[in-house]
Amino acid sequence: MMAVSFAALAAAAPAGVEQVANYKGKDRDQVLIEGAKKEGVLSVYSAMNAVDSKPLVDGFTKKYPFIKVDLFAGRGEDVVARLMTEQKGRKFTADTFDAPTINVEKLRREGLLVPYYTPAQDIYNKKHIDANKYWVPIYHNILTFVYNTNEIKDAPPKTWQDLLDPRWKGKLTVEDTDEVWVINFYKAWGEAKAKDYFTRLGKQDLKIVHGHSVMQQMLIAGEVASSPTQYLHQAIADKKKGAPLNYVIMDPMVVGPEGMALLKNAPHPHAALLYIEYATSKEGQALIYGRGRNAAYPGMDPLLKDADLLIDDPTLSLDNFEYWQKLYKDLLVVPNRRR
Amino acid sequence: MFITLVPLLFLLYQTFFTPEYAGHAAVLTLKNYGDVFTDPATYLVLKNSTQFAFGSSVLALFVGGAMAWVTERTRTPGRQWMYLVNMVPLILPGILQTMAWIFLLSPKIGLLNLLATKALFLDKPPFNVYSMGGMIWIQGIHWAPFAFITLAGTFRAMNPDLEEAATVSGANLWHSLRLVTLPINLPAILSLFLILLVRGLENFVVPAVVGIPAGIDVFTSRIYEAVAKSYPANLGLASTYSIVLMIITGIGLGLYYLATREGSSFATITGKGYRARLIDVGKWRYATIAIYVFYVLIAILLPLIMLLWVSVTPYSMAISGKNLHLITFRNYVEVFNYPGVANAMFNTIYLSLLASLIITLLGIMTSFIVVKMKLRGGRILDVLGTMPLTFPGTVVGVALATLYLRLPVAIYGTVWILLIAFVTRFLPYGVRAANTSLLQVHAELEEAAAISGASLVRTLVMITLPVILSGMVGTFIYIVTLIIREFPSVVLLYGPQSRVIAVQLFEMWESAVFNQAAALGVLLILFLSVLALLMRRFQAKES
Repeated sequence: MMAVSFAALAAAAPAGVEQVANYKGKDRDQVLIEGAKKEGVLSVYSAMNAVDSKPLVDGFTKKYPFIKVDLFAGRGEDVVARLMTEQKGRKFTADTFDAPTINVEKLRREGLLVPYYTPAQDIYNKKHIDANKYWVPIYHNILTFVYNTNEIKDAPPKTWQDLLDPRWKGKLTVEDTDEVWVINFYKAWGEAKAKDYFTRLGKQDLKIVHGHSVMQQMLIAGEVASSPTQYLHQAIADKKKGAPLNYVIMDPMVVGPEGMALLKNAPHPHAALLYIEYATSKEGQALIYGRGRNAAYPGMDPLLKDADLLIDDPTLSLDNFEYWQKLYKDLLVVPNRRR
Repeated sequence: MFITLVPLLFLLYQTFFTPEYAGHAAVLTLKNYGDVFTDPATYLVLKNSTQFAFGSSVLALFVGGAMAWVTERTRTPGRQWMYLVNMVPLILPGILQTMAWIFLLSPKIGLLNLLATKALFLDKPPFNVYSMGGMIWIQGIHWAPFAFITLAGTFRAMNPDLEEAATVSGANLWHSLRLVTLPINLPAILSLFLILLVRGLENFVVPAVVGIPAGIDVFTSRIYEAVAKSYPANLGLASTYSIVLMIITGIGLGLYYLATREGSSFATITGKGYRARLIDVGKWRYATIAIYVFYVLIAILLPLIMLLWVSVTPYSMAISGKNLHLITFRNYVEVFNYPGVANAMFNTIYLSLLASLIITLLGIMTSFIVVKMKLRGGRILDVLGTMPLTFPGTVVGVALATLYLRLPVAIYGTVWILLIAFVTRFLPYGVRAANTSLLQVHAELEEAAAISGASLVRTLVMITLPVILSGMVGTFIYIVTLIIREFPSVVLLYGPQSRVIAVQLFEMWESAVFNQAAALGVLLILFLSVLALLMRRFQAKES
């Protein structure tokens, strides 16, 4: 008898989360706060590093002192691997998850997420949020042209086509796993134009490096002169410290949004929804922007005001991953192999 | 036994399946094996991996071994500091070491290249780190101190009678080395070589950071691609590559057993009392001191200075007079601002000490059963104890996570599962070290104890243990350093309250705050130096 009712409870849980998640009644705030008071705890799994998350978490705890936040921060791929292992082992600790949307999509395909409502969806640019309501972005991971000001003394490029100019030969570096960059240009320009562009770019004597962190150190130290695929927010942060770096707001720029999602088996759904709302609100976004991230809140980041952002659609990447990996290798990596 | 078999079985099981994801169940298949063995790139990658592992192992062995011999068998002044000085690089995570060498040997910005071209009026920089040679150098120099510590312990405990006999018979230094010292210490040397080989084969950082720009692919790149860069993550393929690696190291292990079959002929610690007689180097003193200085400068000081420089500057820049005014200690302050860093430090310290203690004790126990008691199952126990050497770190992590998520034991996400991971991963180091130490203790000593009426346990505690203690102290310390550095097996297992420093450092690195990561690295070195000094005190008292 007990076993049966427990089983019924377990089956009922997901439906409960989905109900709370999509509740739009006038007393929504009250319902969430009451529920969160009973839950008392929130478990956040995040690809935003702990230092950048701290102001956000602190601000949230100040607003809702009855919620204790357990933050689990790490690299996107590591947190996803972690989450998948746990959830498949039926260990349901996580409430919210935020990471570049390609990782969010992996979880969605495993049936581990649930669509939700949050007020930000009424305010944000429709093109920036998930149409199926599985995630809302808290900031953008933007890839753009970054260069060392000691190495590149002439005018930086104005358009992507400029990079095909002979003066850029031997001066460009790409990271060896940036398929997302190529995929989105194929989508924006169409196959013919994109194929032509990347084939010609691949003949520019590119240097290949593994890891954006490694590439960043090499850019700063002058080991490499420039890269068309480096993170904008990192370039801004290091430039502020005095590093000889500069960046160009290119037209367009590829963006991997950092999407925040709700776990289907979240043990604390009320607290989770309050957190999602806070992280995407003006107050929360200001704290994220304050850490140097390209915050997603409309108008908050002046750099992005007129920027043409190519928001990555993770379905494209994931559906044909092997194809894109091979394409990237063939066009950009192999022609520049030294051995 | 349990510790060894779990990851192995898990790995084998995985190789026969396609990935399980999004509604697709895992399908039984031989495709993974097909993919690996029919891909021509596999053989190129195999060649590169072997070259890298072999080259760096030989370099480490040669350099470390030479230093160990000079330290323990000669009267060269300054020997006492070698142990301490050699501990230092061991604790540095691979990424910090590798970046330091890039900043030293890069053809474009490398400090050594800049100095050499200026001083020697060259028109081309002499060193290019982006090559197989560069990779071998970095890995070899990184592990030379480990080779030093291992072999120094062996040489220290060696009975000089044999070498003396050789000298008396008219053999000169080189003959004595070649015909007596080397063969006698063969188990230790081979054991060490095996460990170095495995670390070279499973190394990921050097081939990723240096190999990729150089266009050199190795096995670990393939494993990484299969797991981290593929969707769905192809654990089966990754496991298959891992099995191939394990077969290679298994062959190495087999060769080791073949070479060390004759147990007692390696025993040099006999019942006769002796004091290790050191060779008076006389006028060769200046040569040996020069060797010391050169080694310490190149292998230890250079990367350390580079790291120190990075830790006191706001961003990566050349070491030069005009940059001196930018020196700041901000990075050290920032390290302590990281949420949870105190917890991570605390966990790291007590986990590494506890795990190393367990490993040392288990190693001694296992080896005692194998070497001294000559039980029938002894050999199997030895193999089982050593096998985890061949398991890539990620595999240990995945296997343990999957297992403990299914068992009703609630240790997932706690420090206890980390403890198990560390013991699994590093037990072979304890077993091998204890093995070589024990092989040196001649049965005479223990027979004498038995005749006097001592029980087995008493013999172990009162006779054997003290004799091999000086060797094991070194083992204890370096296992601590290996644990502190360990990351791949930890990444799937740590929880919010059970973080360790390696994770912290990795995150800092990934957030591109290299300078703060360097500061943390320097702090780790300070911690280790204090520990090593304390243990040295302890060791001095014991003898």
